[in-house]
Amino acid sequence: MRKITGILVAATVIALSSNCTARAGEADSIHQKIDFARDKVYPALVNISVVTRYFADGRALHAPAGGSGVIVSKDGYVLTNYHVAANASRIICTLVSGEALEATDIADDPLSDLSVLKLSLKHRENPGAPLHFATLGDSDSVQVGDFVMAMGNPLMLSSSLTLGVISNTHRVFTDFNGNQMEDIELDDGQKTGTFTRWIQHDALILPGNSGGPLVDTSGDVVGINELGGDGQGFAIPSNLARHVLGEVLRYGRVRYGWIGASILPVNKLGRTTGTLVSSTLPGSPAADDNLIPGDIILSLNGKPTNTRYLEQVPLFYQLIASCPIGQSAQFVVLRGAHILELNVRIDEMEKYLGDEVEFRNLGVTVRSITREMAVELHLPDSNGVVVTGVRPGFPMDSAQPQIVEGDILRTIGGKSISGVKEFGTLVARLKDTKVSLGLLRGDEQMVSVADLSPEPPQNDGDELPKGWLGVKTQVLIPDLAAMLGIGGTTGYRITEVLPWTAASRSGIKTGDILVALNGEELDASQPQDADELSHEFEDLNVGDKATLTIVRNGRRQDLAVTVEATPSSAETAKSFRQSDFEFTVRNVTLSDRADNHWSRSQPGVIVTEATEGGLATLSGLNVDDLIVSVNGVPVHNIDDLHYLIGQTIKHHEKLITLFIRREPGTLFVFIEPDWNKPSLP
Amino acid sequence: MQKHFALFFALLAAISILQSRPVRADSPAISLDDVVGQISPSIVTVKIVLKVQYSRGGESQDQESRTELHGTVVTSSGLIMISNASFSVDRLAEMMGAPSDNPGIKITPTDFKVIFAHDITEYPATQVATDTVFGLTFIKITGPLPAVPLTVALFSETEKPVLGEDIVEVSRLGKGYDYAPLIARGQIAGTIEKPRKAWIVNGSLSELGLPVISVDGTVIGILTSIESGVQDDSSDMYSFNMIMRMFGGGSTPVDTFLVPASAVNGVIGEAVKQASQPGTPAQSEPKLVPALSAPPVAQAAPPKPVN
Repeated sequence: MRKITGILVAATVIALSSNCTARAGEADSIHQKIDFARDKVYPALVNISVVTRYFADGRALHAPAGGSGVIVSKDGYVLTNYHVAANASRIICTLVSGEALEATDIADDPLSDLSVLKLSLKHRENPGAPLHFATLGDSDSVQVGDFVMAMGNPLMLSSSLTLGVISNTHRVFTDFNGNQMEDIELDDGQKTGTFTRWIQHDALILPGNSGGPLVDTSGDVVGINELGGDGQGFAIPSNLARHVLGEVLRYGRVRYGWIGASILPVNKLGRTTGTLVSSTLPGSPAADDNLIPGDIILSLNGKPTNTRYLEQVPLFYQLIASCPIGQSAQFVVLRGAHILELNVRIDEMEKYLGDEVEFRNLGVTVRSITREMAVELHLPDSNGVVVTGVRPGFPMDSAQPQIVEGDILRTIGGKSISGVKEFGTLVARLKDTKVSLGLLRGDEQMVSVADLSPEPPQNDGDELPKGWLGVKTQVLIPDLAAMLGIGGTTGYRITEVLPWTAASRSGIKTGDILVALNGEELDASQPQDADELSHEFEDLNVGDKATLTIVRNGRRQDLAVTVEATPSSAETAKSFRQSDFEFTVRNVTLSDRADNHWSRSQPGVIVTEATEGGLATLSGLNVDDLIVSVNGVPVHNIDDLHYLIGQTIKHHEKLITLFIRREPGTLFVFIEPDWNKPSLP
Repeated sequence: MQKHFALFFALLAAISILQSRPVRADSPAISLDDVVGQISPSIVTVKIVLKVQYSRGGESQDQESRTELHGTVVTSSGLIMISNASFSVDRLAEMMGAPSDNPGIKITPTDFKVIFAHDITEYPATQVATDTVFGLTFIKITGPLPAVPLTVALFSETEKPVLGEDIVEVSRLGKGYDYAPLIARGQIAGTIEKPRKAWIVNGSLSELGLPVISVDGTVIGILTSIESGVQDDSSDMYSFNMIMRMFGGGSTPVDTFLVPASAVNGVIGEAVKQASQPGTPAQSEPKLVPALSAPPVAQAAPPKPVN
């Protein structure tokens, strides 16, 4: 019995251990695959930092943003999301090695939410070193359950990898009841997803992963991560990304065929074949060439079109998109009981929203009108521009009646506006400053008159001079007077004498008791008397002599002081705005020196504003920094700074070094302008 | 019966005594129509664009917004006095009874447009002077003035407010009402000596910086806020102040006082002098200027890093 038990136990142990070995073997295999994929794709991963431009309240603003990308060619082409890189005024791609390279946005495609960037390789630390790039795999071959890795920079933590499995290979987004496709709207209002069936997976995706690769265990990129949340991620299939990249490399942009028809699956009609036309856009090829809602499209250019479920809708749009633009496509259509053959012209698909542009001098932002916008806004055509914002206080704000967001400007000075570019041209050519603006507001046709003459610059409203004594005091309350052995005395105890002031030169010291001014006793004895002394001095004339009667060591004595003007405060100190690098500085005041214990010879100007997304902020300059020198030359006041920065701009200096005092230490801030970049309109 | 009549007349006399108000000696009251007629042409509407800047973590963001308030014409050349309470962070904090150290917020007016009653033209103006004591900013119209000569508000040098007297403030309604003049009435309800000499006002006067007129049409001062300067050790002072503002009698905020015209005249005089000096554009012609004329201090030049 013992022998049998022993044999059984041994057999169990052997079985278990071989199972563990097998599992360990599988785990090792997966681990090896992960290592392999990581090593293959990681070197091609980029951390993308951008300064993105957005529009609000009639002006263009900038903000830093970031995401991920993947290098897909040895020439340095990078794929990322449109919502990462489009509208960027500056793009920096940091490789896994730490090397940071500027990149140019070659093309943006909001319809697929993809952008193609090109790394600037000429300034590489080692120009001869090969650039690692990743391979785009076949996204049609992925299967539910496959292991995948999301690589990128979640929360801007560079070069991170998360592991998951494919959850769904053909994900589309529908309304709550699953009746229709739902539009995905990007941050800038553009619509996306028409052609996309997302690869859904559960590798953790966080903000910052956008644009990064979804990688299979072969080390191929099978998707570009775009959306995520609640434990699920959604990647644009690599086959779509390959198409976009190919279009950009061949034509410099992405072109999609379009007929202007919306479709629905036919399953609700009890059909298994065909595609239901649900609407046609007025003025579109579909409408012009007699395709009508209700038609069932049976084939396109001889190829059957079967859209039975919503997941197949993007496939139909892909089919249209692949048709040659400018030519006609043959549709076989079931209309009622009849089969019709229609030739429908293929136009190029526009993005949903037109380009938005700021006209800074006018204080207005406007947008071009696309066909789709024209239909939604019930406009007769796409002529004109939509006002997206008017900046308070700027010339366009002067229009009577007022121009507001949503107005469609159709004419300026009597001349028709076809789009944003022409609007700019017409504005530049205006001879008169008072112009008429023809606009549509809803269905109303209005005429507004605006004075577009430039606004005069604002002056600083200097503080009016008032008499002032450079001391701080506490009221001599009766108890304190008694403690100091001068019971019955009223006035002020000096708590601080500010350096470099007339008060300091008068000989008054901390601890002195100020009892009279110009022979008149100061009757301060209660806390509410605290401001009496300063009020007395405000009534004196600047430059006059005043007599301070103090008690020191029990003896009264008179001190002469010249009444000086209230020094500048932080609010009233002269300031200067550097608009190229977007920061504002002011002169250092007496209070600043006293509060910070800076000597009188300490040079510097104080930063009061550093615009988010501006070059100064991106370089590391902070509000409250004291800029001590520019390229080694001391800065004593705002005029110095204005001059020195002006010289760096004039000579297009590549590196501007600011020596900063940021309490309690110092540091250098390096501004590296890109003089080749065109300035904003 | 006689006793009742006597009581009745005594009551009437008492009521009339109680209802009588102090009046200025030798100053007959004038009708409100005349007050409005005299003073309202000097009351203008000022549209201001404010840039509110928020700084945090070393970076700044800003937002622009419009506000509208009323000002007073103080010279015929277009110098206008307004209260800067709406764009002074410190002043706003004072009025709210909140701590004024809000280093992360800065409010800057970036554009002024002046509108004279019944004239839709907006006249651009620029800041020329600030007085932080009374919370006043002076702006000057930069372009051509209206064809009609400006009416200037004259502040009395000698007249002082009288306890109990009726007072009036004239402001304006908005554009939709063609900037019609609007009267607010009140009384002089008391006087303070600390922290400065001023008069307490009750009633519906509330707009800071505007002239306050006595019943004889004399401009006797302006409304301004005065901070007590005393640190209150009640931790609920802030919320107390808020409650007082919400439930205080009339609509005159509790820390709003009338400062005498003679004091305001001094400030106006300084502002006129400053306004007549050449304008100081916010960004003047740059040149490298010599260092302060301070005694030289041995200090190494800031080192330049090696590229």
